Amino acid sequence: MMRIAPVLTLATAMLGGCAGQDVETSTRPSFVIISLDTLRADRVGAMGGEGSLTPNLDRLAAQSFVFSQAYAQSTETLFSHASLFSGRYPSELSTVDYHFSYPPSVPTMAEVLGLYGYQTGAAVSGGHLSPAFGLGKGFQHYEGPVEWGSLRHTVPAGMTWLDDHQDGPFLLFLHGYDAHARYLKPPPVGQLYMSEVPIGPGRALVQSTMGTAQVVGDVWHQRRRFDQLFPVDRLRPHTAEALASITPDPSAIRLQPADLTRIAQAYDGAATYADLQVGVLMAALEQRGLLETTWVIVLSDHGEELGERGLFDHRLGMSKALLHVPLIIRPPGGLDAAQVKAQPVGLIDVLPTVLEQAGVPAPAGIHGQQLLDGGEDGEPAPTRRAIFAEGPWRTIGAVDGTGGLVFSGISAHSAHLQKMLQHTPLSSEAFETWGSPDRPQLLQAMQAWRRKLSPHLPRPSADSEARRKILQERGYWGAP
Amino acid sequence: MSLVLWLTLAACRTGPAPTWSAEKVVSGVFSRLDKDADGVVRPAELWREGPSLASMDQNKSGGLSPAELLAGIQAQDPSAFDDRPGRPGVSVTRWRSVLRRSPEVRTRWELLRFLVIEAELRSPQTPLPSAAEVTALSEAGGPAYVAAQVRLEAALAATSPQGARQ
Repeated sequence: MMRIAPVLTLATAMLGGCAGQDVETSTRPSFVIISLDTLRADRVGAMGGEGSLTPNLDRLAAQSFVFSQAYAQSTETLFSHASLFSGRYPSELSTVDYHFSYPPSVPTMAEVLGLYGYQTGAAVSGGHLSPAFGLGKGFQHYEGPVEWGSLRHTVPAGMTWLDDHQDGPFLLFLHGYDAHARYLKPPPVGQLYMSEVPIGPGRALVQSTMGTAQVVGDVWHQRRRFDQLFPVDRLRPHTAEALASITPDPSAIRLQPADLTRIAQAYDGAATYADLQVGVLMAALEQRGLLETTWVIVLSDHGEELGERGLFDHRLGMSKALLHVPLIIRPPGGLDAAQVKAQPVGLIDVLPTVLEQAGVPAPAGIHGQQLLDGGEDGEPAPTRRAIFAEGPWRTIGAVDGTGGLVFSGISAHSAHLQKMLQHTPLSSEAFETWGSPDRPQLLQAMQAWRRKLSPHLPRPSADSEARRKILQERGYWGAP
Repeated sequence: MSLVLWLTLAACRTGPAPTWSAEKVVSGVFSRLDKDADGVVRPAELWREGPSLASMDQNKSGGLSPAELLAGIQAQDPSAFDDRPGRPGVSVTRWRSVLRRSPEVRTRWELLRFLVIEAELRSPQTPLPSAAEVTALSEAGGPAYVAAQVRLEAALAATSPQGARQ
């Protein structure tokens, strides 16, 4: 168990020492948040998906607020959960690359709730939710029963913790890599949508640890590491031109169309497996009589590409498949019928929503908006023009109801981003779109968003000084 | 509470039926497998691979009820089935080793590279540093880097949507 007394002290100071000692904790609701890693929105029936892959999520959604236009704030687990826990964009917290570390100075949802008497526990599945990256900050209990594990591991662990912590309001966060590669799950669920037994390379691929991330087009580069295929010193490794330039080595395997189909079929099985675990969790909560007093929030940290751009992963570039995620919020007792809300929202909005329902003030500096203005009566929450995202391979994106605009080539944490965004024409290859958005309007929204942010690091201070001198001498644009 | 205990308690429960009973939780999977819709999954309806029906058939009836199917599914560890090795955890050190250069150098490099690519498209007459020169300038930093940056920015300024000077 991880104890956090020094951090609490700091957070208390940051919140102005306003922890709610005078508020009756027994009147506050509890929260269970379930993160279904890598689950695409279009695999969830309640989010518009076809094929009845997720009957339990659909049943849950029938009693819930369903956010049909929910978008993740990153395409990678680490950064996306950092936004979920902080209500801020990743670049405000640290560098949006693998040097990321959650900053001690920024309070998390668990930390704030802890200050108001909540018991906070998490059962996660390792990977980027390893405590080494700092995402356990604020949880009084943070455990990872199985590395790269499933909700089948974390739900029982969470219930064990819960059984000792029902004497007051609680926050329980559960996470599983059920829909993440390795897609193939135990039979019969894992193969539910396969028309025949996969064999040969196709079988090895769907059961391999990261094999699908090594597929480009119809070639499995089985001996090449991800960073060899997509080197960090390639400015835009996700473009069609960059993908076409990858030369297969002798170990590369050319896949058959059926192999590629089975990747998607295995993924669908993984989605159903994740759904089944949500059902088991709901049964466990019902068994404990907690569904009348507990908010249940189901979400995913990002989606997955299943060959749309010749890729089967989630880290490169941005697309609807990567950013559109399920977000289902069931209030205590459930709604009589689903309330579908179609405005663009993000995982960044979960923190203020939770804190609002808990009756706890949100920390200063967050960018999320609480989603349930007016409580459970369905009054619309404040609308926004777009929701934004930051990817680890130098991408930022803006999404609205009509599509998305992506800008790539400059890291989200770079001090140069805002200026490059301002001075790069929409005709540049730095911009890509999906859907049919109003590109100038979305660019304007993106620029306004960046102006509001304070990128965390790094700031090239020495260069800035030299640059300022030269620019002032020559009178070029961009001079401070 | 173990799944088996939950299933047992659920079976013995009196009063209103639970919303999330084992039957309902597994109903989607069950109905896909139960092709003749007779309420029992029989050997011919199960996938050819995986645990035998006998291993899941707790009451030895020759078929699986929804509760038996769910228990059988949950008995398998998704991290270990199919004789595959466990996946190692994330090594923060190894993960970060992919980023060989310091954050400052990477920031300089990507800006200069970005400007070069833009200049190639928008200001083709501008003499451009090679990829190797971009790397060398970025690693060195200082006045030479800044001069190259300013030169490229100036070349692009005329084509900027925001105008030449701010």
